[in-house]
Parts: sequence; structure tokens; C-alpha cells
Amino acid sequence: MSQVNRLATGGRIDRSKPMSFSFNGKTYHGFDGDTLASALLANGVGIVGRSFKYSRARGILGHGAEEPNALMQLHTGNAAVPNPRATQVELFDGLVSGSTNGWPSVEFDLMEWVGKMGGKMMPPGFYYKTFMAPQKMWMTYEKFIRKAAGFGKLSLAPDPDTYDKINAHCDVIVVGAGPAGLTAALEAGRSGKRVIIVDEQNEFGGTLLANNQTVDGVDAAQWAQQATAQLTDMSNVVVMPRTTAFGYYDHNFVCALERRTDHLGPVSTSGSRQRLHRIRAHQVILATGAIERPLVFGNNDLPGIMLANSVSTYINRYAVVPGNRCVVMTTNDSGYQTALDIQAAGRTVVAVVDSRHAPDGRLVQQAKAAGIEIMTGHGVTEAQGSKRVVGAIVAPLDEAGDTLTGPAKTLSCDLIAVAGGWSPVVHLSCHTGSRPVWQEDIAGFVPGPSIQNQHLAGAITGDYKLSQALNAGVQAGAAAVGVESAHVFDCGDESEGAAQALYLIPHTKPVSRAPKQFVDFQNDVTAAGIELAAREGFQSIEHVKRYTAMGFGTDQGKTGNVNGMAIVAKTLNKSIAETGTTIFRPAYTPVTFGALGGRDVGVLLDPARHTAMHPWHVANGAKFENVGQWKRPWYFPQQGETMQQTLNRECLAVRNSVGILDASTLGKIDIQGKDAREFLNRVYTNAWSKLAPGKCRYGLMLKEDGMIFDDGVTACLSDQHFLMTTTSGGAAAVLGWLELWHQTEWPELEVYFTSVTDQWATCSFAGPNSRKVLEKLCTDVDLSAEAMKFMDYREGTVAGIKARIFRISFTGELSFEVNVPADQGHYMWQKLMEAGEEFGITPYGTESMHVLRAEKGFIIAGQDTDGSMTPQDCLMGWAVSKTKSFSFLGERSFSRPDTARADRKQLVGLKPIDPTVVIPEGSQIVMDPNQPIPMDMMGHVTSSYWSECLGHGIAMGTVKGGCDRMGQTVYCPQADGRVLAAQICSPVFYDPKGDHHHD
Amino acid sequence: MTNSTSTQATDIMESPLHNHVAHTNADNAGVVMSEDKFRGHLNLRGNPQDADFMAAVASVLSVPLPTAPNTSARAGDTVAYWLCPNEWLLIVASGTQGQVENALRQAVADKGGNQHIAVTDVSSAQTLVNLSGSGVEQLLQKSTVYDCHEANFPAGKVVQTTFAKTGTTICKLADGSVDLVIRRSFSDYFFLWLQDASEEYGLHIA
Repeated sequence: MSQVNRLATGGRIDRSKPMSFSFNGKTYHGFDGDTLASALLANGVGIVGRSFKYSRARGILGHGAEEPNALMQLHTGNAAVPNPRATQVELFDGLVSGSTNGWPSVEFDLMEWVGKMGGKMMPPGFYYKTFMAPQKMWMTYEKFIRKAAGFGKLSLAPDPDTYDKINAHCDVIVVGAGPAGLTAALEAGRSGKRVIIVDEQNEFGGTLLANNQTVDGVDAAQWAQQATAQLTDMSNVVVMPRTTAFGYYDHNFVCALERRTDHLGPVSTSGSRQRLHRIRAHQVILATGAIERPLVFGNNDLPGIMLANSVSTYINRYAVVPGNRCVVMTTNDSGYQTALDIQAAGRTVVAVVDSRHAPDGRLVQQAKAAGIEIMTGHGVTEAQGSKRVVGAIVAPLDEAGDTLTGPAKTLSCDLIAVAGGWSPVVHLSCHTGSRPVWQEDIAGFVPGPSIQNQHLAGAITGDYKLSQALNAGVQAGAAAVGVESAHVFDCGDESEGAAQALYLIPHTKPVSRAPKQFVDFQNDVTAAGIELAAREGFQSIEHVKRYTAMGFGTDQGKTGNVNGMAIVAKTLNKSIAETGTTIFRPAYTPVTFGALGGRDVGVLLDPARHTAMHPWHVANGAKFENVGQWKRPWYFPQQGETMQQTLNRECLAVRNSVGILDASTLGKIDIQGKDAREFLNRVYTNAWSKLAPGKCRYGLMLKEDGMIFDDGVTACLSDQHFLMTTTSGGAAAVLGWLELWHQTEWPELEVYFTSVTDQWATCSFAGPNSRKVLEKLCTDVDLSAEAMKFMDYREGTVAGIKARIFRISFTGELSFEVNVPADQGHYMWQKLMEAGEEFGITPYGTESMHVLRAEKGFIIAGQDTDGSMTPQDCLMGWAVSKTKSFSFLGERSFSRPDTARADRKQLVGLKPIDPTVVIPEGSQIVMDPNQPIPMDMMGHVTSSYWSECLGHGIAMGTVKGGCDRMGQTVYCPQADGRVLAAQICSPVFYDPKGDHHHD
Repeated sequence: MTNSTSTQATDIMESPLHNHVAHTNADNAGVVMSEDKFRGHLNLRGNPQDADFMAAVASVLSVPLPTAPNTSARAGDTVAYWLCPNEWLLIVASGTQGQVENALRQAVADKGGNQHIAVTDVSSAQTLVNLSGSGVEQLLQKSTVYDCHEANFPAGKVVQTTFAKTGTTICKLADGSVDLVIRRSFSDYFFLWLQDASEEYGLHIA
């Protein structure tokens, strides 16, 4: 198909670079520099989609971010992109596009008949009102309703593209590179300060690119190019086209999406497709311009009805005239420019229909002189046509534009260009909490007062004339960098006549009976719907919005909001200022989730922390478990083993010979200072005054409420030097806790804390043969039972490396921990494996560690405790000192009645009656399995394992008053109907006297 | 107490970045990474208002401790980073951390004043990485929220901030490159991120 609407000359397209593309399966042609919208219009494509609710045929209305109708489905397969606006899609050769809805096609759509027949009966809230009963059926109705509505489709396959994020800092960010933005950036840039200027389009210039005026004696578009070149040459200025500032947050934090390769092809061939810029600016200049408003009249949504300014843009920038016979409907002088542009492009202007009775601006004079027919004091009340506008019904209006004063006549046309005034783009200014204020003289909302370091320039404040915008930019740019500028532009702007504030053009029928008069095209909200909402009692504009859906979706009310508010105001007999406006949230235009995720995906989603021995674990087939951010070996399966078989083998190795565990992840805090002991006395429940150098002690740490927070072993290295260990996941919180109390409550204590978690690699080996293994590698420490007792600490040389040796046990067996600087951790581990080979030394992971400690009844803070367990609840009153001079954190809470009562949940052992059973962790515990639901919950199972060495299942759990229930039978009802019985017992299942670890 | 003064047998030592994943160096790389392995890292705590303490430390390091926030002091192989009003990171020649630690304790003891200091060997807990090249500025922009532009981050300045989702201490050097202190357990993640973020500039491991 030929480009029937393409002009032979002019525009900013490159006719030497033709491109082909497809839309809804048909192939078309365009040029480099086209948007998908301009190329579709060039090819005479009228219908681009179907409307959301009524499935009406829709065409292109605008030329940029304001476009409500032309939502596209782009690309195929896993590269599919739903819902970009055709007006913002740059054409490339081979682009595959289609409508997002319409069945079986947009040209012939069956849903349209539903919309037509049901149209009158589909007021706001239609779906909720109609499908409300029976209520349980709503989920079924909804499935079908959702299918009929909605727009584009995502691919469910992985996105082939990558996205990334970058942080930027600047003195000044300028949002928008139209006339005001360009002069603001130039002025700020000349100061040498760091400036960033972003614009959503491929080319800087904004309205200058489609403007017939001159700036400083040169063509406006050419001046924009020169200005852009000047900015690019400034080393302190970052120039970012194709970048949409979509969110403006507190403290001048601006988020901008850069589309790096969208204009080149469906999938990026080098680097990220899109980049999210997180910009922190000292000063923000908003030069976001204004959007032209459509007018509300009957069938104003027909394809072929467009914004006048957009028609001019297509002619001047893209060399496309989207119609042959045009009616211009205007309430102000800017419509006349469009009429002149159409005429200059060689097409017919049927008439300019002006609602004003006596317009006399320069453009009006020019149009008259050009022989264009002007119908003053008239309005288009209704458009005619079904899939394309074929006529405009025009009738005389009174001065106020409220009432029709005479008979209508029909003008034959295929294009109606509508100029209903301008709405400043206040979206970004709203994001920071500033409410827009109504400005009567421009009939638009402008940004309200801001608490940010924010400047406004150009059309966003209602300065619509080119000279005004350029000069406002100069002043904003100068103010943002704290200088003064006397630079003044004079573009010889024509004196404009006053605009008329008109929104809804009256029809011969009342609004409720007239053909649909659309306000919000994307959400199919009509004037009748808004009136009905007001009549039904929705008086707050926020309620009207939510009831009618006006301003929702990707459109965010860009074209429709002000018209809708005007209709609400009129219905309620209020002014627009009194009615007010809804405000806008980020994002200004949609942002891909990919860009928000950036590179924080896959292995980079969350850091994986590794110990020095990690490569050994990987090489030896470990399965890993996440503990905080650590990857800890979970178990080391051998070929053909089930997990349980592995655990059985690992546990028996520890009980019968020797097993080895990587305990490097335990938090380690180095504590130095003469008051270190006193500090430990205060943060631990037990006493530290008498712990001699070379000795270790287990400690419980409580929060102020008396509940267990963390636990671990602390060693006295020397009189004023201690090494505290914490749980793997609790290390950072414990260090923060110590610092908090030291810095805020006890700064007089002379003590310093330093994290050494990463400094030391820890090999923990346990079992009756563990001493023999260590003796092979360490000769300068007497490791005999008499010389190095349980809970002793020594420094010595192990495998030639200076090491810290602890005789501590979490398994109940004779056990040593060797700590060496992590640089040598991998080596030490390998040496221990070599030395242990003759004893069958067996690496084991966290799961076997859990089984082994549970056999001994040792708690894991965070698994057996949950922030509501005291030491007494855990039967660990032995770890609480009552004789400390200063008290300790949490002690006072022990005397709270709730903490002291006898029937608290207490941690006890649970031995399944059926020895083969392992009760699922988390099972609820009840005393009477036959009690009707709701049953009395007595507690729950916190830890449960198969104990190979004991030959039966073991568990720990909390039970109300559990200490006094020893020997009683409890029941754990399961989701599958089974009821597992267990006997309450001591949690120490193995070696209750502790002979093994004292050997 | 005794310190880790044993001679370093580097053949049995593995630096934090020892295990980084396979990498093929890019031609004309915009980012060059080199790990300054096995340097001595000492965390020092003390009272900067205590003239005895400051003089004792200066005598050992041959340079006074920096007291202005986010600054550093350098003397030969030794650099001191200000971390907070009473905390510094000393990076000293490889293998000398034990001697320096002892010397610091001795010097403070010799002054005879308040002995409240802490010196902690963290040489194995972290590593020093240098990043240089034309792509480093953007790489840092991708990786940290801190403003590393020359105007805000001149040579000698030290900041403790985030690098992607791990913590780091960054120091700008006179040649425009940056030194980063990376924690051992996060170093594999650090390298994966570095490799990914510098792909568009080309990465060379020196």
C-alpha cells in the first residue's frame, strides 16, 4: 500500500531510508524518523484498536505521551511488548506491530455489538452492579469480563533482554528539552555546574521540531539542533534523549527510564535494552510542557478526530497529513495554526469552527487572509460516521457556549482537528505531594507550591507563547545555579486572542440521551457517566474518579481529566477550582518491570556469602542451605544415597569416630578493653567476672523483655580480650545490639567491638577420634583430657599455622574447633581431612548438626525459640545468674507476672510413641485428640528428626506447663487425618550425663 | 596476647578473590581490576582527643592518623582510612600486620596514658581491590549510590558505602583509580557483579 498521506517534501524524516513494517499482519512502509503512529497515518490506517469497555473503533488522537487509544502489541515470541503507544514507538525496519484487542479483528469486532446494544445500559459500575448476585459467582463472571477487557499480552517466556540501573548526581536536572528546557539547560550549563537534561523523545526540541516560527533568526527546529549541539559540547552537561523522567520523589530524587535499543529492533543486540537512571539533583527544573485538550461532543471518539496540535505535528515533523477534508474545531487561536498548516500541505480546510463569537488574533487574521472559512460562535455537536468520521454536525452557540441557538448543519469531512485549550503537564510536580491549582486565565491546572528545590519553566506554567517559554527557561536555568541572566528571546509572537474555557459542547439532546460524548478515551468514560456519578452522590472528585475509572490506567487522565472535572463542577454547580483535581502518581508513562529489577536478578538477586572452604564443599558434592546470606553445606550425599541415608551416615560417623563441619559462618566479635567483662555481664544472662583466660563459656543474650535473642560461646583470650560467637544469621544484629547499648547507655565502659566473622575460618570436628586427629597436626599444645578440658581455649600451631583451638561441643561428643585466618582456611580443612583419613573423617552439614544437637537437647535460637521464650521456658535457668551486681538486660522482665507464671509454654522433649515416626516440624500439640474443633492448642513441635544412633524419632517442642507434664502423652493431628502421639520427656535424648563431651 | 606474626606461606594462602569465576580478559578494557592480595589490614580503635594515643600511633605509622571525616593518610606502604571518630583501618605491607600490631600496643603502653585502645587483625577478613580505566566512573555509578564524581570525591577521600548489595570502603587515589575494601565472604558476589557491570566497558584482571 502506498503512503497516501505522505507529503513529497518537508518534515524531519529521512526519505533515503525507507523501512517496512507490519501492522495486524499487513505490510506497510515508512521512513527513518517516523513513529509507528506517523507511519500508520501516512499509510491511511484509521482504526488502531478497540475501546476498553464498548469496543468502539478507535484511531490515533495525539502524537506523544498523551495518546489514549493507540496502544500496540509489539514484536513476537518472548520479545513481545504490550501496550506501548504507537505515538512513542520509533519505526525500524521489520517492526511487527498489532492492535491489543479486537476480535476477530479491529475492523470487524463482535464485541462492538455488545457495546452498541448494551451501551445505554452500561453506566459506571455496570459490571459490579450487574454481576453482583449471586456473590459466589463473581469469580466466574470476572474471568470472562477480564478476558473481554484489557489490552496487550505479555509473553510468559523469559525476557531475552537485560536491563540495568545507574545512579547519577547533578546540580541541576532539566526535565524536558523543548524550548524552555533547552534554554534552562544552556543557562545552567554555562555556569559549569553539573547538569543533566532528559527528554522522552528521540530528538531534543519538543514543540520546536514542529513549529513554523524562528528563534534568533533561525528556523525553530534548526535552533533546537544548534542548542542541543551546544549542550552536547559542554563536558559538564549530560544529554539524554529517549529518556522519560517518570517519577519525582522526595529530596529531588528523579527516576528516569532510558530506552537504549527499543528503536533498533525487538531485542537488544548489545548491552541492556533499557536503563533506569536514579538521579539525585540539588535543583530540579520541570519543563514538561502542556498537552492539548480534546473537546467533548457526540461521537468525539471516531477515528479521524484528532488533537489539532497533533495534526500540525504530523504535517510539520513527519510530513504526514492525516486527512483530506478537515474541519478544525477550536476554542482558541492555536486551532488556526493547524488550519494554516493543512492548507499549506495542500489539503482542504472545510471550515474553522470557533466557539468564540469575535476572535481577532493575528492567526485568525492570517486564516481569513488565506481564504479559510471561519464559523464563529459555532461548535461541533456531533461527529458522523461509523469506522471513520464522514461529517461534522455544526450548530451556533451562545456566548457562554452553554446553549445551542440555532439549527445545525452538516459539514462533510474526513478529519476533525480539535483544539480545546491546553493542560500543563503537572504529573511530575504532583509526585512530590504538591496539589495542582486551577488558574482561571489559562483554564488549566498548574503546579501548586512545592517544598522541593524545584523550578518551573514554559508551558507547564501556562506560558504557551514561544518567546515566553524560551525566556522562562533562561530564568529558571539561571535561578537554579544562582546567577542572573538578562538574555531575552523575541520570536515576534503573534498577539493571541483570549481563549474560551469550553469543555463540553452542548447537543440538541441532553447529555444522558445524546450520542456518547467521551471524556476519557482509554477508560471509555463519557460525559453521561460522569453526570450520573455526580447524581448518584459521588461529589468528591476522588470518588468520581474511582467510580467512573476516569484518569486510571496508563493514560493517567492526560487528555480527559480537566474536561471530566469541568463536567463534575458544572453538574454540582461548583467552579473547577472548588471541585479540584485528582493527583497523579508515578509512573508518568509505563515502566517495564525489567528496568525496575535491573541486574538484581538470578545469581545477583541476593549476595551469596561463601566461606574459605566453599570450593571444597562444591567439589565434594555438598548440597547447600541458605543461612542468612550464607551458603552452608547442608549435607554431603554420596552416590546413590537418599538424604536420610546421608544424614544417618554422617551422624553415626560423629558418634563413632569423627566428623567435620565448616563452622566459619558463626558470627565472631572481637571485644577488647578493661571493661569487657563488665559489659559481658550486662548483655549476657550469666556471670563473666571469674572466667579465666583460656576458658570459654556459653552465654544467652536476651532482649529487654527477657526473651532469648541470641546465644553462643565466648572465650576469654586474655584478661581484657574476649572473642564472642553468635548465631550465623544473628551476627550483624548482635554487633548492632552491643554498639547500641555501649554508645547510648554505657559509654563510660571502656570496651571496643570489632567484627571478625570473615577473619577466621573455623573447622569443627567432633567424635571420639577427634583428639587423635588434632594430635597428628598439633604438637605444641597438650591436648590431653587432663590438660585441655572441656570449654578450654588454647593458642597453638596446627599444620604449621598459628591457630586458636577451642574445646567446645555442639554435638555432645568430644569436639574441637580450630580457627585460622581465613586465607589459610581451605588449607587447614584439607590438612584435617588428610589427618582424619585413617579414622574415616566424615564431612557433615547443617542438617546432621541439627540432628546431633537435638539428640543432646541443645536449642537453636530462632528455631526452638521465636522471640517469646525466656531461658526458663527453655529449661535453661542454669544459664541465668542471680548474683550479678549490675543486673543484666532482660532480668527485670523475669518478674513480670506473665513471664513468671507457671503455665507458660516450655521447651520439652517429645518421643514419638511409634518409634518409626518423625513428627513434622510445626505440628500443633493437643492433649485430647478427640476434642471437637477448635481444639485447645498446647504448643507446637519446633525440631524433629530421625535419630539413627537412637533408632527412633526425636522431637523438641513447646508445651504449656510442659515441665510439669513429664511422661504425659500429647497428640499432633496432621492435615492428612493422622494423629501422631508422643510422650513428653527430657529434651536430652543422648548421653544425659554428658560423659562423652567431657572425655 | 600473641599475634599472628608467623611468616606468611603464600603458597598455602588463598586471598578472598582466589576462587573468582573464569574470566577472559577483554581487549582495550575500560575497567582494569587488580587485587592487592595479602596486605596487612588492622582495625584500630582509640580516642583521637588523647594526644598520647595519637602521638604513639603516628610514631609507628610515620604519619598521623586522619581525624577529618572520610579522609585518609598515606606513608609509603601504609595507609590509614578514617572510618568513624574513633576507628581507623590501617593497611600495611603484606606480612607486617603482626609487627605493626605489637608496635602499636607497645607505643601506646610506653606513653603511659590511658591504655584504652583496640587493635584487631582483619587481614584475612577482607581484601584490597584497585579499579582503574575509563569505564570505572560509570561502573561505580551502577554499583554505588555514592556520588563518586571528582567534584564530590577527590583523591584521598574515603567513604564507606554499598557496592551493589555488599558493603565496601572506597578510596580515590591520586591517579584517578579507586581502591575498594571488599569483605571476604562477599567477594564472590562482588566479582560476579563486577564482571556483569563492566561487560560493556570490557574487564581486564591484572
